Amino acid sequence: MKYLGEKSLSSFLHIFLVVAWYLVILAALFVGVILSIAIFSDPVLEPGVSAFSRMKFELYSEIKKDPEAWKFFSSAPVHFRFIALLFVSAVIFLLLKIIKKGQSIFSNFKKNIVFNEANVLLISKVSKLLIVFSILTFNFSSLLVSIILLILTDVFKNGAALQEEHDLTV
Amino acid sequence: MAIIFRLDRMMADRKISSGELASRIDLTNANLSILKTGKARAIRMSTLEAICRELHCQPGDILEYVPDDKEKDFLQ
Repeated sequence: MKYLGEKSLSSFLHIFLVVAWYLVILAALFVGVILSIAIFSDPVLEPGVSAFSRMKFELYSEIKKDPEAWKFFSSAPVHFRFIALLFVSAVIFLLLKIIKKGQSIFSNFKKNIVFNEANVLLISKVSKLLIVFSILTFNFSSLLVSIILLILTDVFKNGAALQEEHDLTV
Repeated sequence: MAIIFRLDRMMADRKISSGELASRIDLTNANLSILKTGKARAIRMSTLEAICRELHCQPGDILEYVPDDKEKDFLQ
């Protein structure tokens, strides 16, 4: 199994992240519409006559699949419910940034550029973003991975210095 | 850096092109241009040996020490 270069694990991951970028944007739009309807409009209990109210009714039945959580959510004041929108948009923003940086890292790996100053910067940024992301989503296995990535940043920094030394030795 | 690689002068004396020299001493053109532009951090003994062999010269003929501006100020 090849890890670097053309037709390797890195090129596969690069394509995967390009697809994931669009999927996350689509999912974000869907979640954003549902959440903002849940927050800013009154509940629609019966399907109305117009197409818009029917659509809203469909969305409400989608939200109400977990009745306990929905009860808790709908009884809260508006500004509290607004925090949910902020939280979700922050998580999605972080996810999109991580995916974009991951794309650049794997496209560099695809071109066999490994120990490079640009990669050091990208990996350190990804690991910091991933730490924030994993704390926000309470995902502690991901936190462990991101801390290991933060340590790997230093490994890559040393590697980049050695690579430069080697490239400039004739 | 204070050490300058005077390869151009020697190559003109021996009437040899940089492409030919690169192929004779088994070096890529990119690496030879790193050497000529003075970006090189270090030079292998084997490379220096091959250059001297092909150009029929001593290492002193192609290496030259020129003090940096800072060092010049210090000397004056």
